[in-house]
Amino acid sequence: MKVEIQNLTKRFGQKTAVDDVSLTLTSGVWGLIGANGAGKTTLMRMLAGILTPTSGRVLCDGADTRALGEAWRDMLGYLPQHFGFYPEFTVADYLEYMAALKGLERDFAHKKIEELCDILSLTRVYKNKIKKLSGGTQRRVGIAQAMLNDPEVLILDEPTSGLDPGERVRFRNLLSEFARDRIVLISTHIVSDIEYIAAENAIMKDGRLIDVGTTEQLLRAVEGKVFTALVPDGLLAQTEREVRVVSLKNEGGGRTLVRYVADAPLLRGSEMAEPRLEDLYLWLFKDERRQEDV
Amino acid sequence: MFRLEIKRLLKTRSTIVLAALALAASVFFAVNFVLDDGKSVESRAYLPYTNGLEAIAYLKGIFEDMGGYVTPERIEEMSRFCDEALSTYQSFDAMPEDVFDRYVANMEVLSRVSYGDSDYYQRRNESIEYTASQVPNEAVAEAAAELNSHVDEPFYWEYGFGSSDVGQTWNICLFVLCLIATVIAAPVFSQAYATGEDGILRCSKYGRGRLARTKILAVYSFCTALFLICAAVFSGILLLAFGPDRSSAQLKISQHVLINLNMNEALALFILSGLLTMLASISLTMWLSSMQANTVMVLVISAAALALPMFADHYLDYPVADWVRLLLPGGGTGLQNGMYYELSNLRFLAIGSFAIWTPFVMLAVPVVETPVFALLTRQTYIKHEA
Ligand SMILES: Nc1ncnc2c1ncn2[C@@H]1O[C@H](COP(=O)(O)OP(=O)(O)OP(=O)(O)O)[C@@H](O)[C@H]1O
Ligand SMILES: [Mg+2]
Repeated sequence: MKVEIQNLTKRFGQKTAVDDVSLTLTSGVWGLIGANGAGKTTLMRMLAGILTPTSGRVLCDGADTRALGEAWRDMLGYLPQHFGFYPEFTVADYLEYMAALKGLERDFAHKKIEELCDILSLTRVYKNKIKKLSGGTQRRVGIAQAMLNDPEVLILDEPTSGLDPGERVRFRNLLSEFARDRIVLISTHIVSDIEYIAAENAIMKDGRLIDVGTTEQLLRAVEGKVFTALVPDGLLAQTEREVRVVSLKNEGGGRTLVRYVADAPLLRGSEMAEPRLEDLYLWLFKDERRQEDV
Repeated sequence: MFRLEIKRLLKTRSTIVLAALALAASVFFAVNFVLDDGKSVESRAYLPYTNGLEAIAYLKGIFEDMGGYVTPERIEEMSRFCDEALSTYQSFDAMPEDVFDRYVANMEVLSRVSYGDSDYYQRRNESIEYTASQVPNEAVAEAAAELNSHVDEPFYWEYGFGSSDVGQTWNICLFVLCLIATVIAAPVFSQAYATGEDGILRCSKYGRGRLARTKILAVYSFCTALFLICAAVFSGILLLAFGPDRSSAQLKISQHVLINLNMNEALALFILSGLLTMLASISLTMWLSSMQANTVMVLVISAAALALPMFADHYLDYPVADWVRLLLPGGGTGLQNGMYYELSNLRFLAIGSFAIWTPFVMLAVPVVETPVFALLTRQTYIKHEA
C-alpha cells in the first residue's frame, strides 16, 4: 500500500497554498507539521479529493485517485480541521448515518460503532445531540466517524486540538495500534503528539515541503543547536527578544531556565541539550511569529 | 441510505412543523370554502342561510332532480318556467316555497348557460372562435377549433362541489403548499455546506452521486406524500360536504374549456398539475441549494421564482408573459395563475404554425423540468468545492 503525491499544487488566485509538493506515503503514522497557513489543510483536502488541485496528482498503488473515485473514498477516512454536524443528530444517529454512507453492513456497523465509542470514550454521550457536546468530544466523534470503515488511508487534520491530556494519550495508543499496516497522516501544531506516534514527519513551510524523515533524522538538523541557560528574571524580557526561546521554566531564587535554539550558544552559562521536535519546529519557523499553541 | 435520509428529514423539527402547517392550511382552506361558498350559488338567488352546511343541505334538496344533460330544449323549458314564475308572483316573497325552490334551482342551471339563451351551444362556439381569432396567428384559431370539435355536447349539470371558486381556492391552497415544500427543500444541500458537515460526507464511499440522489429522492418522496395527504384532505372535505360532481367543466369552470372534462376529473387534474408544479419548484430549489451555503438566499430566490409568474401578466406583454409564466417552474401556482386559470382563459402558446393549448403546456413543462433540475442538482453537488 503506497500513496504517491506527485507535484501537487494549489493556487487560490494569487496565493499558492500548496507549491509543487511530492511525497510518497507508506504504512505508518505520518506527521505533517507546519505553521499556520503553511498549506497542511489544503494538501489534505486535495488528498481527500474534496479540493481539485491546480496541477499534480495523487496516486494510490499507481492509480490516480480521482479516477478511482468511489474505490478511493472507500479506503479513505477523513477528518477535516473544521467540521460540523447536522444539528438534530445524536452521536448514535450520526455514526449510523455515516456507516451507511460508507457502505457498511448494518450489523457490522453496530459492532464497529460500539467498539469505537468505547475506545474514544463516547459511550456515555451516545444518545446526546452532537451539537450540545463539548468541542473535544465533538472532535472525538469526528475521529470515530473517520475510522468507521477501517480505512487504509486515514487523514486527520489536527485531530488532537481540543482533546484533554487523558484523551490525547488514548488517541495516540489507538492510532499506533491502528497504523500497523495502514497509512495515517496527521497534521498538528502540537508537536509532542507527533513525537510520540509519528514514525515519519513531513514539514511544510509556505506551501512547500521542506523536509521529510523520521524524527531522529530530522532532529539531526538541530543537533548542537539547542541550549539551556539559567537567566536572572530581570533579564528575561530582553533574553526573549534576543534568542529563539523554546521554553521557560522558573527555577526559583529569581532565576529561570531558558531553553532556546541558536547556531551557537548565545547566553552565558549555556549548556547543550538533547534536541526534540519542538526545538526543530522553532528552528525551522524562526522567522514566523510565535504561535500560542506551539 | 434512503431510510436514514427520510429519518433525518423527519428528525428536523422545522420539517415536522411545516408539514403540520401544510395540513392545517389544507383543512382551513377546504373548511372555509365549505362554510363560505356553500352559502351561495352562481345565480346569486337569495338564500336565507348564514351557515354553509345548512345552505348545502337545502341546495342538495332543491337540486335533487335537476341533474342531467342541459339540452337546448331543457334550457328553453327552464327559462319558460322562470319567466312564468316571476310574472305570476311578481316577487320572491310572494312565491310559494316549492315554486321558489324550483325557481332557484332552474336559475342556477340557467346562469351557467348565458341565462337561458337556447342557442347557448352555438354562442359558445362563436365565443371560442372570436377569442381565438384575437391572436394574430391563425394557428391558434385552428388549434382551438380542432380541440373544440372533439368536445361532446350537450353538457351535463348536477349539484356538487364544483363552482368557479373551487379552482381559485385550490390555487391559493396549492401556492401555500408549494411555499412550504420549498422551505422544506431549501436546506437539503446548503445546510451541510454551511455547517461544514459536507467535507466529511463527500469523502465517504457513497458521499457523491449516490448521496445526492438519495437526498433528492427523499425530499421528493416526503413532499409528494405530504402533498397527496393535503390534497386528499382538501378534496375529502369538499366531497364530504358537497358530494361529487359529474358536471361538465364547461358549465362550472368556464365555457372556454376545450376538452371533455367533468368536475371530478377537473379536481384530479388540479391536484395532478399541482403535484407536478410542486415537484418542479422544489427541484429548482434543490438546485439552488446545491449551489450555495446560504439557505436564506436559496429560500429568497426560490420564493421569488415561485411568485414571478404572478407578476408576469402584469408587467409583460403578450405573448412573452405567457411564455414566462408557463416556463417557470412555479407557473402552475400563484394567486392569479394555475391550472384553473389556464382552463378558463383560452390561451395558446404559438411557435410559427404550431399552437398548443396552455393547460397542456402547464402539465408538460414540470415533467421536463423536474428531471432536468434534479440532474443539475446532482452535478452541482458533486462538483461543489468549498
Ligand atoms: N479556499 C481558500 N481560498 C483562498 N485562500 C485559501 C483557501 N484555503 C486556504 N487558503 C490559503 O492557503 C494558505 C494555506 O492554508 P491552509 O489552511 O492549508 O493552512 P494550514 O497549514 O492548514 O494552516 P493552519 O495551521 O492554520 O490550519 C493560507 O494562506 C490560506 O489563506
Ligand atoms: Mg489547517
